Amino acid sequence: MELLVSALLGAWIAVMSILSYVHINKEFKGDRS
Amino acid sequence: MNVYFLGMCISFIIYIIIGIIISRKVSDANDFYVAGRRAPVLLIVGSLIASYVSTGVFMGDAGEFYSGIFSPMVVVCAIQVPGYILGAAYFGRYLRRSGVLTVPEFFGKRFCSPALYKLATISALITMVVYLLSVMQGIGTLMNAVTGVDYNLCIVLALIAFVVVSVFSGARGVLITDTIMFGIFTIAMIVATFVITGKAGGWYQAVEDLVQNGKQGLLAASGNLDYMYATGPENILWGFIYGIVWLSACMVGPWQSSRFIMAKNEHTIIRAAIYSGIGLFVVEFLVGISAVTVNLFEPNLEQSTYALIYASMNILPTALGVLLLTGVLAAGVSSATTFLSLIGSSVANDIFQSKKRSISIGRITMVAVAVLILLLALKNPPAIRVILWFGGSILAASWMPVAVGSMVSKRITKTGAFLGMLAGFIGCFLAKMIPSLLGVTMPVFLEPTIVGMILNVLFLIIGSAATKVTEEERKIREDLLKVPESEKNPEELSKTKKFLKYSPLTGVLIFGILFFAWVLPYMMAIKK
Repeated sequence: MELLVSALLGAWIAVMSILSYVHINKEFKGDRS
Repeated sequence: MNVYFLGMCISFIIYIIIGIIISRKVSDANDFYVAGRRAPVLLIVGSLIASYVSTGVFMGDAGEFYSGIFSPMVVVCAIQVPGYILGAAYFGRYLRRSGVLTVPEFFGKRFCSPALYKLATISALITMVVYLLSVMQGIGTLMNAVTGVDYNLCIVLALIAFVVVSVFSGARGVLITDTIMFGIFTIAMIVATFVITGKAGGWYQAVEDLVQNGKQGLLAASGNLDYMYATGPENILWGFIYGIVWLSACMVGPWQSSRFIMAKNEHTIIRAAIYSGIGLFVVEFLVGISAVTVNLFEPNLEQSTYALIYASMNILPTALGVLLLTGVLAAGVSSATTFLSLIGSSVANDIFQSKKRSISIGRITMVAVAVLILLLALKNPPAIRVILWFGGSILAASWMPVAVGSMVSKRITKTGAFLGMLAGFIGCFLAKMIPSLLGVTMPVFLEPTIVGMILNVLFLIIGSAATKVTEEERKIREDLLKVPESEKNPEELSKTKKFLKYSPLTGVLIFGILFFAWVLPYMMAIKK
């Protein structure tokens, strides 16, 4: 159970970081208006 | 006068001297309110973490770790980690682009709405005054417990120190002293953790002893079922919900997002956000390890919030104890300087809307606010964590959906934003007050922040559907979405993209820390 909690927390951080990356990258590439 | 009080007084004098030295370099209002908008990564990271970490973490959170909800607290700490990078991506960069001096001003400018501006100002001021009060009470409680000096005198001494720093040196001074204090409490916490666990035979041995002889479920994923909720899933869900509350505070809280207004550029914001998430987790996890280990030395502390104070005075060598307590005090003072500076700026710019934006108006309002806060603090009883959570909850519920929605969606109107913010504020407040007045405990999924956020989103959608986005609102949003030419330096762009590309590895890093410092020793202890 402890391992599952830790893995889910790590995955949560990774997914949120990817979301931020995609959002900022789109803007830097000029895809947003 | 004991040695701990002496250490605290010396640290106050050092902060005052630094504040006065920095004040000589404050040349204009831009310097005073937003540190000249040229702060580097180090100062943004230092100030973000120092203004977040206060006595609430070193006393309130430490008490929760000590009492047996180690796992739910770890969940809170890890869930909030991406708050900074999400805040930088969806809110902080636009704050800086908009050229505003305060966060409420952004809402007014984005939606061309004086009403929304006022509502955001009121909610920000209420939250920050509550926070400042709770931080002062934490400082007073800490100093009183350690030194025996009168609680009110302790508050006055601390107030003098952080008023001098905030009033004389403004935002620039607050950034620098915050970073120094961040250094002090981080170093103190790292060394103290090694010494406390070392005296318990090492961390892995401590985990084994805690599993065999400590409180029931102290380090289990379920947490201590005699302490908070009666089941493991409820405890974990509590951790998730409070993690979202504090993630929201990291994303849009004025004492956090306002640091981004002061950054040198958007690349600084993004890099600082990634470092801050990791740094905050490490500090809080060290607090957790130290506090839970105190159980092996004294399992029956009368007040669990004194876990680290007990460790400083009874487990650590005197010099290190002084350093740790000075570090805890630094955490309180650094948050207080940020709050006072922000409240003063908000009163000067948002309430009086001073066109001159002079330094003297800011200084006068800060002194007036400090006197008011002192009077309130002297009358209120110490209740650190409850008040802190109230402030964070209200803000997460009233600001988060509107702040993120303001840039993500092109359909949100000023009416929708106003109604959403108001519904989130009132909804969270009532959901918090009614159960406590009736003396009932609500299920964990009806946590006030969640109620407030749902109402916020609901009214945001209804209000926006019933009205139309004006041409002015549309144009402002489009302008804010354009990356300024000054941010398009190829070298900086390439460096920032690398940072972002590797940022998901933060998840691997946090998992690694949790695995080797919690899961592995716990599993080994259970098998034995």
